[in-house]
Amino acid sequence: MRGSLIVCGLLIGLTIEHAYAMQRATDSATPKSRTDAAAVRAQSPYQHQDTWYEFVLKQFNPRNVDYGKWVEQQRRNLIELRLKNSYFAYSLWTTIALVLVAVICVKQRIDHRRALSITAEMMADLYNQDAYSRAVAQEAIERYNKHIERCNRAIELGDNPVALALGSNEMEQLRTELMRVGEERDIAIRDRDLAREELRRKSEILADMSVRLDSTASKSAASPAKTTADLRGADARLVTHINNLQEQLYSERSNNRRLRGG
Amino acid sequence: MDFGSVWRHRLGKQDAHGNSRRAVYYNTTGVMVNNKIRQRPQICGYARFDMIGGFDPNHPSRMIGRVFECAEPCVWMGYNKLLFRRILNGRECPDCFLVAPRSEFVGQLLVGTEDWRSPSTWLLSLSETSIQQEAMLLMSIGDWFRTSLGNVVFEPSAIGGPLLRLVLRAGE
Repeated sequence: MRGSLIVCGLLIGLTIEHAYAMQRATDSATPKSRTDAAAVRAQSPYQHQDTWYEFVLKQFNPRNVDYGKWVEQQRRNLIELRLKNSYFAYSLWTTIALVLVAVICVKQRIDHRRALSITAEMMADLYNQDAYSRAVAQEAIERYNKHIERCNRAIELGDNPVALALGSNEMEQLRTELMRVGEERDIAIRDRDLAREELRRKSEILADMSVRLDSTASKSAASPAKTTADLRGADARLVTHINNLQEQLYSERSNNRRLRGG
Repeated sequence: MDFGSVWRHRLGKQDAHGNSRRAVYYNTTGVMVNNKIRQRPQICGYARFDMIGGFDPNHPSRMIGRVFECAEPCVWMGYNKLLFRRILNGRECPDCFLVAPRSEFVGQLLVGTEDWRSPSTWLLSLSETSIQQEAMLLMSIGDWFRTSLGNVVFEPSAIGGPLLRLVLRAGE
């Protein structure tokens, strides 16, 4: 890298030096043309005056250097000395080959690192799966051990009469618990029967009110408009009341279902 | 604002072209049981629409948002009944709205509990299974009912628009 920088610096220096040499050569050639122009001007009977744009251009280029010609000469030099040189072609192709080799090396390195990271991820997954399987197996083993322990204790209770006495005590407790639960069940059944009876009564009331409402509706259909207007308010109240009763009936049914365990 | 899930109809006398202008359509609540709509009524009721009154059974969604002239709500043969007589074509302001809330959207309706709805709300019909409910309610603006999720208020939409919405007010 450092060597290539030095070479580039040398090349730039040589180019600048060459340009200066060319400039000097041009400068040495210029006075002759300038004296020729002065001689021509002296021979001319009239004094030639510069136009304004010639004056402006002279401000930018007082030595009257032909830059186009200089660039063209540099280009020709470059083609003759560099591009048509067989060493240049050799260097160019060598450089391209080296760059390609460098790119391939970088690509290989990146692929290798990627493969390494993927492998590491897979190994981590396998490790986690292994740890999880071990934990599940340990849990299952513990459950099995507890179960076997309980079985062993039950067998020991059967063999040992003292332990059997303790077991009978536990059985007594269980029997008491069973009796308590039975009493609660009886109370729940009684509540359910009461709720059912209440539900039946409300259904009867609802049916009775429906019949009354129908008869009222039929009467109102037969009677004049005045009677209808009078009854409208009463009808609305009645419908609202029936609606409330329907909701209560629904609520009681839900309670009943819950008591039955449905 | 919405209809129940169950539609039934009774065709009247047909004219020469086979059209029946006197057909009657009954709408009530229903719930999905085994991928089929079943009525499963807990409180029975229905809304009746007469085709002669302008109801279009082929486009029921177009009837949403329309104003009908209705009869007074009544109880007929043990069923709550609401008769929609005819469509009003003017821009009348409705007194009440027919709303059909479903439990999947508003939560389980606490029907029968104390103060579960505003006093002016009328429960037309209720269908229920163990997990689903659908009700048809007659509500005015500002009316509310209570569900397992909170209070659901019937009010104009906050984002504007011509239709009103059931808005959940949790924690009120």
